[in-house]
Amino acid sequence: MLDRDFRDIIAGLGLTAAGSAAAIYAAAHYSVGTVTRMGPGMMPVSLGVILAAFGLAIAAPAFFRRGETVPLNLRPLIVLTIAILTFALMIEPVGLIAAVFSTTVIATLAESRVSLGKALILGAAMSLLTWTIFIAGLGLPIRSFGWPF
Amino acid sequence: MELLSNLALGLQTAITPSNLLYCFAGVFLGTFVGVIPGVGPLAAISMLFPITFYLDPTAALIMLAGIYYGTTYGGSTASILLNIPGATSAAVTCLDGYPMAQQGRAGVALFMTTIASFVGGSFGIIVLSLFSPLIAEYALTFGPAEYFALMVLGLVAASTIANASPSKGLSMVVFGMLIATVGTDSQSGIGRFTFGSMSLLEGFGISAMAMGLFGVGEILSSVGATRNAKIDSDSAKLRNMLPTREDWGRSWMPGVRGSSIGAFFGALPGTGPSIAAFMAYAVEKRISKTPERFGQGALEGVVAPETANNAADQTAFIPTLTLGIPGSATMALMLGALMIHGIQPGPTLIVQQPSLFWGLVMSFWIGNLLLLILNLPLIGIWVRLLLIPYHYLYPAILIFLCIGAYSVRANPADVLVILGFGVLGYAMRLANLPAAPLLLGFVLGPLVEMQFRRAMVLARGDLTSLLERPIAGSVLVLSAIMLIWTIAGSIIRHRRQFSDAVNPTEVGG
Repeated sequence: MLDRDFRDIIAGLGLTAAGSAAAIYAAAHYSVGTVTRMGPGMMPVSLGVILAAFGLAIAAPAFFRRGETVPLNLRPLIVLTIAILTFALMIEPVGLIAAVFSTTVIATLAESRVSLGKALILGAAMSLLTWTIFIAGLGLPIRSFGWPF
Repeated sequence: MELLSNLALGLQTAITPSNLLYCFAGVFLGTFVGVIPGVGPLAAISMLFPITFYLDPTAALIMLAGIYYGTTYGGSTASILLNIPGATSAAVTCLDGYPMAQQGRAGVALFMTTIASFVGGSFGIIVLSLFSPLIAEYALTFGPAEYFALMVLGLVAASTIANASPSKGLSMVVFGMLIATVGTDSQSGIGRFTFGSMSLLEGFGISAMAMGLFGVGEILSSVGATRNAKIDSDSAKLRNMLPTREDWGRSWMPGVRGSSIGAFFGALPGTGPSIAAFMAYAVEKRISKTPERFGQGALEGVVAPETANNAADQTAFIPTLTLGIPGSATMALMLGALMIHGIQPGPTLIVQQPSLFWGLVMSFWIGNLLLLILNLPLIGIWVRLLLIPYHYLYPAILIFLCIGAYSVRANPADVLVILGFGVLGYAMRLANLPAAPLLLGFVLGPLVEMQFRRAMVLARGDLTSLLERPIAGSVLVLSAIMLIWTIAGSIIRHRRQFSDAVNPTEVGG
């Protein structure tokens, strides 16, 4: 138990920050116009202000109640981020097969339940499966193989 | 007998081999993701969303809809066997389904949920085909003011009814609307929040956003969590599944009540299959002569929610297709699929695209029949599927999400967009902020803006004119009442918590 509900305090203040930033940026860069002739800035500014207000409405009561710690699991977050980045970086230079294989193998590392051998087999199976569905089956314009050098 | 000729036209459309195939693919995949806990219909629909770019709109909608109601069929399987709902709409089914499984009656529960799903689904389809044309005809008189009011009602209802904290739901709607302003403003042609980036000029795609929030976000929060699964695979043998005469007798009235409750709540904005299932369960428990049996494996407690959530699945299409106003995030994706193909859903849809509308309705019948086959004789396959460990499944799902995102525009930047929204979705889960209102706000935001602008031009900027129109005015007043009621309710709750915090009653530390 925490003596304040920090989860809602952080969430609320984060939304307030995002809302104010959007409203200020939009007010500075786009014309707001009038209600009859709304400018491009009207919606972003008003939505930003409303979002900031809701953020405060979420955060304020949280100062006065107890909260619980939020379990933050960093390993899946980091490993899967790397896996998705790998896919984004590899898909064009080296093609589908290698990109899918690497992404699958990296993704299995988010938990310690899959052995390396099984991860390699899963990667190969996924490469074959996705190639069959997306390139052979649906005919999407994706390269199967590529060589960047 | 206009209805019959319409249904005949629909059958012609739905029965073509390619549409049959997409219907089958949809319900098959729907059952698949429904059975597996941790993959919901939203993730599945958004994953398949890119493929629908290559299909004609009718086929696309038939397939996406099939995933949607197929999930509700499959969702009860994990509820009964594992006490983990495969989909949120099947959460109530755990209450009596799992005790039935512990008493060795899992087969009967699985059999009856499938029959109940079929009955509920059929009832929902009948309501859908009878009421949609009437509502659409009435809605032809609606102007921008009415649409603006109805959309506001939809957004308020969706963010307040289903959520424990209305301020969180409402803030997510506003956040979604704000995200929707990124890109070129349709009125002035000025790029908003683009920061000089070319790819942001088009704004965020609904598919990338949904894949990130619901697909990647779901994986990020499920991976690393503890899981245990023990299943008695004998329960899925057909001979253990047949209900007794007493079971049938007990079930049919709850089925009728569940269907009606489901059909009603499905069509309302903000309430969907989950709430319908919960209401049906509560009603059965209240009117039962033996309420103490509920929670101990009462068959009525399985039948009522399963008819209700399937009926609600079908009637949810009424506001989406007749008014163009989706009541839930899933329906918002359906709407998005239509808009990508240049079809603006609204009251004219049924008249202008009769083969699409009635074809879709008839595909629901076919899909429900296919699901009956998939879930009765073939139930064993799905039970075995539950045995596949999640650590082999999530890398596969991740790959499909990446390829799906990339394939839309052949742009690797879109893969980064799903990563960004995935991390956002994970953070929102940690903060207990609901993601469905965000998607709804994202889809409805630009439409609300457009209708508001039109209404204001027509009324020469006079805001009170909105309230003077009978329909628009009463709908806006209704939204305001709902808003004030929920906010007042939460303030009272906070007060109570506040006084608890000031005078803590320390019991056992």
